[in-house]
Amino acid sequence: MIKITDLEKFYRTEEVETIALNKLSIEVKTGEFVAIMGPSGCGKSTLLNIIGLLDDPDGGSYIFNDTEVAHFNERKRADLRKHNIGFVFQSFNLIDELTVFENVELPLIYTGVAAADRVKRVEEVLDKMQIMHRRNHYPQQLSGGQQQRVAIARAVVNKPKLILADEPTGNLDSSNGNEVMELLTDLNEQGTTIVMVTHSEHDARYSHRIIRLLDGHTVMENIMI
Amino acid sequence: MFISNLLITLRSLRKNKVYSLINIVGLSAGLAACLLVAAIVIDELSYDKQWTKADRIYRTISVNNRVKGSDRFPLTFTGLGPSLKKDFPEVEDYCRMSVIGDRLKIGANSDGVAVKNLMAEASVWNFLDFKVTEGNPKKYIEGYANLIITEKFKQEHFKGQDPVGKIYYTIPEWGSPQQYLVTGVVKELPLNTHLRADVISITKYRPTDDELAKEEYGTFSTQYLLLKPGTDVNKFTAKVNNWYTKFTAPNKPGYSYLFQPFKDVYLKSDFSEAQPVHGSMRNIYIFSAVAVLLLVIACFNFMTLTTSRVFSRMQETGVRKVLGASKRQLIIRYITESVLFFCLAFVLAGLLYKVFVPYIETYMGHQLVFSAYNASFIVAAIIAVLAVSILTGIYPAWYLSQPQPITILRNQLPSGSQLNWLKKTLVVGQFVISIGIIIATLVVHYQLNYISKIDLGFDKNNLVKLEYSSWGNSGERFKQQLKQLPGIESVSITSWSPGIGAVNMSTEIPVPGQTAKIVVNHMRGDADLPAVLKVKLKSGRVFSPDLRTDNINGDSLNQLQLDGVKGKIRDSVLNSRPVIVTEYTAKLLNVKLNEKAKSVEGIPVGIISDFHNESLHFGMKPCVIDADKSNNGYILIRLKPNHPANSLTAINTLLKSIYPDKPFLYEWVGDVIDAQYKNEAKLKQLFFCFSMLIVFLSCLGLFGLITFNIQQRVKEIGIRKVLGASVAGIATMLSTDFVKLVILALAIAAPLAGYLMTQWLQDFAYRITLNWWIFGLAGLIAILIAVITISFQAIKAALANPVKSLRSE
Repeated sequence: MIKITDLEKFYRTEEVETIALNKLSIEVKTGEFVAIMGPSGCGKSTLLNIIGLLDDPDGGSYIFNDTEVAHFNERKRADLRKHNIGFVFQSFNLIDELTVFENVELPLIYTGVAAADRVKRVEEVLDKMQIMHRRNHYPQQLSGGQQQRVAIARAVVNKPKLILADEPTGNLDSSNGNEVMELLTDLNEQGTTIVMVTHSEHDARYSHRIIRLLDGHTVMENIMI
Repeated sequence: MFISNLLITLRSLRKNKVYSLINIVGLSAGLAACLLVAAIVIDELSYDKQWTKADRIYRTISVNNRVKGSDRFPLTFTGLGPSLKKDFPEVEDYCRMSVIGDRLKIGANSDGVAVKNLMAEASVWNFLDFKVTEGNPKKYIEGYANLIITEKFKQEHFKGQDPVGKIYYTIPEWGSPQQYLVTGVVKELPLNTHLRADVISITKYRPTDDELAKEEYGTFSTQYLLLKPGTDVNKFTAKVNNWYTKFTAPNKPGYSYLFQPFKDVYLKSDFSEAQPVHGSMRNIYIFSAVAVLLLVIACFNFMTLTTSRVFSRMQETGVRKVLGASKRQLIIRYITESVLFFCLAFVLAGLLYKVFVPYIETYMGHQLVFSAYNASFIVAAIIAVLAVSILTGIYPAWYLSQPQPITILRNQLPSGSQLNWLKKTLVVGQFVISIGIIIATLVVHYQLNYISKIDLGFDKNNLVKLEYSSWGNSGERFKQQLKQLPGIESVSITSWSPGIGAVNMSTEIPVPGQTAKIVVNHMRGDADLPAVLKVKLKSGRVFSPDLRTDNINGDSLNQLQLDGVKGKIRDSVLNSRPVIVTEYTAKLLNVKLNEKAKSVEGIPVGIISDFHNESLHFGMKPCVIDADKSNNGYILIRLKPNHPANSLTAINTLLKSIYPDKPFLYEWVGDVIDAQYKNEAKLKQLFFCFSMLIVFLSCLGLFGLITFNIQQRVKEIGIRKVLGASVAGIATMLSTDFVKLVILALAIAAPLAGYLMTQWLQDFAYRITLNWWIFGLAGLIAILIAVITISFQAIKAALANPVKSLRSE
């Protein structure tokens, strides 16, 4: 599904040029659950942003589903993104002014799904995430674990082929964290490819494979058994 | 999508109460002011457009060719209309008409009812559209002045009666009562006409009035012409003046004529101060400019406040983008928000309009015919509001849709430098306007203050004026009996009273050593006038009640038909009667005491200190008081400072015992003098209200900017505090930038306002000089207001716990 070769990304200020990704190459196959680990500043978030088509690389190639997307313009990237990729963030990033239902509905509105269909699909996914009883609440009225379940519901409502998770348990206690990891594992078992950035060895153990980064390039890959 | 946008906007409105309140209050105040001003402007522009023949009606205007630079005046020889109709095929009809004050003897009050009477010829039916509801008033009934009343007038004064066919009398200030035969009732007369009146009277002119004298003498009247369709008025004007030149030959014509469109009479008659109902184009411009300024300021505020929320909006924008929202969708979302804000504000503005219209009507002095509550205006206003809201919303919408989704992942703030620059410009703009109007308000205030403190040369306090009237043979008795009343110091019958303008007679006299002639004002007064006015005698004497020469009755002498030698004797008596002159006159015209002088038409027996017989808009002019014991004129009554409270009642009782039919028409001279500055006092009110509103709105804008600025510097403030900065230090640091902006605004506003107010002051012969401290004071006021506004947010930010702001990183 994802084939990245010699990927480069620089951050420039007036005087210093920082290399975030240095000729990085990785591959993620369809149906895989991959964890990316490494110390702060190693480039793992940058990599996730590029994979998520939120940021463009300065060099190298990025093939997504057999298409070279490294030089896609903003519109093409947005289009590809909204149909194929779901995001889960550490800080949930729910919209405060929208109810649980409306938050989850948002991606369907942007992909142009008809209203009746939207209700059906949102209810289906809320049910699956066991958050249906909170559908008319606002995010501030939910616990952290509940908020993350809503965020995951929102990420999967469009049935994306790929879910990108940036420290999904970073703001949660361990029991809520485990619950979220179980959810991701379930999704993966149902066929969704997952790429997750994490600091937690515990969470990483849910994945099939760990990619360890240091200073912008791969230093090790662990296959989980 | 739209519904969802609407919903989310309403929720965020509720969530951010302070922001929403400020924004909506600002917008609705701006829009309400705009609505009110629009109503005034539309009302002013509507005058005299409602008549079906308005396009073809013209008022005749005379231009005096004899005096260089003389202004136009809206009166022409009474015979002009008939002559033009006879000789020019373009003229369909003429009508001599004007609105006069009248007093009808109806109702219980012995003083009758004061009415504004549109006195016209029967041809008025051909000019103006009146809807007859009773009687057949179009048929003129000979032998009487025909009176046509309105339904409202009938309701008010003839409830349950049928006045049609009955005769009513006037209570005249002069001469004998006039008879009016009520011939009909018409529907209401419009308010938006310069011929605003309560009743119409139809009179017939004598055949001699219709004659035009080629020697150019005769009476003047206000006349209107109805021209045939398709007449080119410029060609017509040229043709008339050509004809008139031939008509007066071999003499050069003393007058030429202009024809003023009926629709222009209300707004474009600055040359005719005496026209009772008139507006001014200048006011329309001032009003419109103010309305636009207010709207601009309100929109600036909306932009500043909305963009200031970019930080709290960034997360939402980012998430939406990650989830696939296009820029267009986001822009639409924020524009929806802007439209919603404007719509809410518009509804509130509509309510505010309703509340404030009565005040505006009081201010204008008449009811507005135009109401904003009419379908086409509301539709137009809604379209305008939508357009403005979209225009205003575009920039914030574009800006808010900018953040890349990546920023929410990085927790990074967009660079605000470009935005800051724009906002600073907006704030400087707002404060230029604010400081400008503060300066204007101060200048108007100090000028009026200055004027009220100028020594007029006479004592305006405790002075009562009885309206000009013919006091007949009982005049002297009335005067003497008035003097007997307790509380009354002195009484005078005079042709002049303070506040009526210069005088009612003047001569043009060449001045030694100057080429241009100057105007010398003459007033006639009895021996008591100087004492009543309390002017100071500098040398010579005042008139004496005992000297025959000081007590000539000029009016009765003039009325005698004297020819030949007798006429010459009369003239020489009149030209050598005692006069009193002011110091200024004596010096300017070089007249000596007790030497007969042609320039003052008499023998100066006394010189008095200067006094201002005109408003202070005008400079000092030569002024002469002729000794005259006439029975016609104003009665000026000087009351003692501690006069009894019922003095006026006592005067009235005495008046009624001698003149049972005369109404008691009095005014305090102090009030009359103040009324001369009515326009300026109103301008002061207007500036004061607008300056409050403009300053208030500008403060909202400033509040938005400081909020934005502090949000951007939260981290910096946190670090400074950790390193030991004091609250005062941080508040000062945050305020300094803004105070600089206000000072910059002062630098721009001061010369601009200074120039405009210098122009305004030219209307006064006596005026203050624009001192630097007026600008300093305006700047100080602005800075003070700005600092108060800023300190709310600055102190809050400085007091905040630094741990909180640093942790959010």
